[in-house]
Amino acid sequence: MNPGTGMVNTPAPVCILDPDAAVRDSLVYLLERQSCPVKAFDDAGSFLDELDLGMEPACLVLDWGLPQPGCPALLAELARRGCKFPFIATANQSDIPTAVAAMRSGAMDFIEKPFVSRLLVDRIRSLLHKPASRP
Amino acid sequence: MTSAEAKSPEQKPTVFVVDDDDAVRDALCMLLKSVGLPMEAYASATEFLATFNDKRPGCLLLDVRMPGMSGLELQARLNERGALLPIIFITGHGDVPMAVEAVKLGAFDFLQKPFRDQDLLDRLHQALERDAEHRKVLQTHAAIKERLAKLTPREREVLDLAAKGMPNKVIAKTLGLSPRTVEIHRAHVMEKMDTRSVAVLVQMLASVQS
Repeated sequence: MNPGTGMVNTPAPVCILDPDAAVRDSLVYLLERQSCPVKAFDDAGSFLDELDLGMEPACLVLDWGLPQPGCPALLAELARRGCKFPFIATANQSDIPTAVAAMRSGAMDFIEKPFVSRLLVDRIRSLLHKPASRP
Repeated sequence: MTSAEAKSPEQKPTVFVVDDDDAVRDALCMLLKSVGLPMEAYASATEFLATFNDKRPGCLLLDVRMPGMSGLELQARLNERGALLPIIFITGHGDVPMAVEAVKLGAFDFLQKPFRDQDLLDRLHQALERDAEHRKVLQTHAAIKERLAKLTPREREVLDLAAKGMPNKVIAKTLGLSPRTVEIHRAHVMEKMDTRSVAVLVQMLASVQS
């Protein structure tokens, strides 16, 4: 993280990390139409590579069902790197224990799939307009 | 905190159970007794709120659906008061959005019935641990702030500059004082803040500023 540099001039992208191309495409389409910078990734490795290149996400929309080693490993890696951007978890397999686990891992929100893309975009926008606070 | 307060029974962590179902309260009571956890049971949120005292550490086991004030409403009321007590919700018929909302609003956990006793006890112990840590941190902060409040404005200036790593000579120059005067102020600061180390002072300042 680079506090105080480039926050205004280079808008940070909303990042989508989801193996499902249909989910990525619809979110990218909606966000771009609202002139919101967005980048989509189909696996954790390519997302981490982009972070290595200096990308600073505004937030991350994370598929909670990522294949092994899965989200907990990714979140541990992000924590190790000192990343502080907020994330929203989405999940196909959605039950209370899964949702609570995601929230307790620091998710700002948990959205069940299939979701209405517009609703998720609204959640993203409201997340970006309030100061990030993670428990 | 005085030693008398520390020993008062109110400081012992208590599990507060709020559930309108007598059978559930009895079962939880037996379970908690079996592991030696002090508990108090309430049949309604209103009843609990009437006796609620935020100084008492512990954890709240809270039913979501109850006649009158619901568990979620009680959570909102406690949040309004800035209550520290961690909440574990227990529900027979919750859904994902409800659980997400409860955790967003600060709930420690959200358990679905039926659950294994051991699962509940595990979460409960985690919640009690977090509550104890949280209260300890707040207590330390309060103590530091109390000490800071005892400093004179001049002593505070010296402290802030010393915390930035400035040697006495530079502080003296910056504040237009003699090095000897700065030394005296600095000694007073260390005495009032009850430490001999500038490193500790810096930590204290950082902890109350964040």
